Amino acid sequence: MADMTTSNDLLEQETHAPMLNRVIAAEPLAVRQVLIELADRLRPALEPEELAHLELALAEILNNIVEHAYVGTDQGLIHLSVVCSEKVLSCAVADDGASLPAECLAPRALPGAGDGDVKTMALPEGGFGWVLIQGLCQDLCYYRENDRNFLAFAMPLHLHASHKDTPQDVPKAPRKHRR
Amino acid sequence: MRLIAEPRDDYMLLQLNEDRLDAAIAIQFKDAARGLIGAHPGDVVLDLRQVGFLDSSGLGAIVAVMKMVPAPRVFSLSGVTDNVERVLRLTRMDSVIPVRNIEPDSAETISDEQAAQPRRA
Repeated sequence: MADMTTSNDLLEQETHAPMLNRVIAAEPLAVRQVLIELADRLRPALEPEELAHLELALAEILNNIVEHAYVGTDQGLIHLSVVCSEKVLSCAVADDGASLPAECLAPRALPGAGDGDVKTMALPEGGFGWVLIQGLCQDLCYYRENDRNFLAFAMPLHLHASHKDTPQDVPKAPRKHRR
Repeated sequence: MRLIAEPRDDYMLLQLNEDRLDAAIAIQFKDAARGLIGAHPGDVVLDLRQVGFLDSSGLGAIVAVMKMVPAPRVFSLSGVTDNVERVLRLTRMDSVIPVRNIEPDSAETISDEQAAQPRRA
């Protein structure tokens, strides 16, 4: 009986492990599908805001690969890995498309908007993607090797956890999301 | 892409019946909205109560649709969910896109902040 319980627990752990590894076609509906799957998988492990931030950051990164790295080709694959530990979520994305322009990772400002004095017709319809990625992702790093792009980032978890034991000496919210 | 137009007394309600306004449907959404708005001269309210996910492509499409309703006509959003509100806030577009909450039964609630937005007489 005890053995049975143990194996069931292990199975449970495998099925609901807070990680996801997928290779998807570089097209918008495949991106949408993997984000839905990722959210379903990680929902039990993350706070709603953390999940929302991850989903948004990955949407921007994956759609950027679809629209820019693989521009002009209808074939392409994206490799996505996400792993959650107790305190941090780690994510890696790889593709075989064009290299990422350096300016994408350079510090960016929001496209002209938000000062309340912008004429409607001048409002930006794009340029938000990398601002969001940079604001939501910590330790964002990129390198290219053998014609393959690698992008990795982390997200600190449970910064606002009230239901967890929080040691007194833990620094308060070491990094805030950009607003 | 399910976008439904419903003429009301002093505006047209565009109801986006999609769970996600993302890169997969942003262009179709924009094109569909253009057709519906072109046939209506007044204010437009885009109801997003069903939309639980918005990315920057979807946001760009919303801004493009907003531009299809030039002043003095007023474009506003209704039924902004938490995730949509988050993207508007992170991109600071919450300060330029008005919100006018329309209840499904037509009863309206307008918050103090939003009441300052220009409205058609």
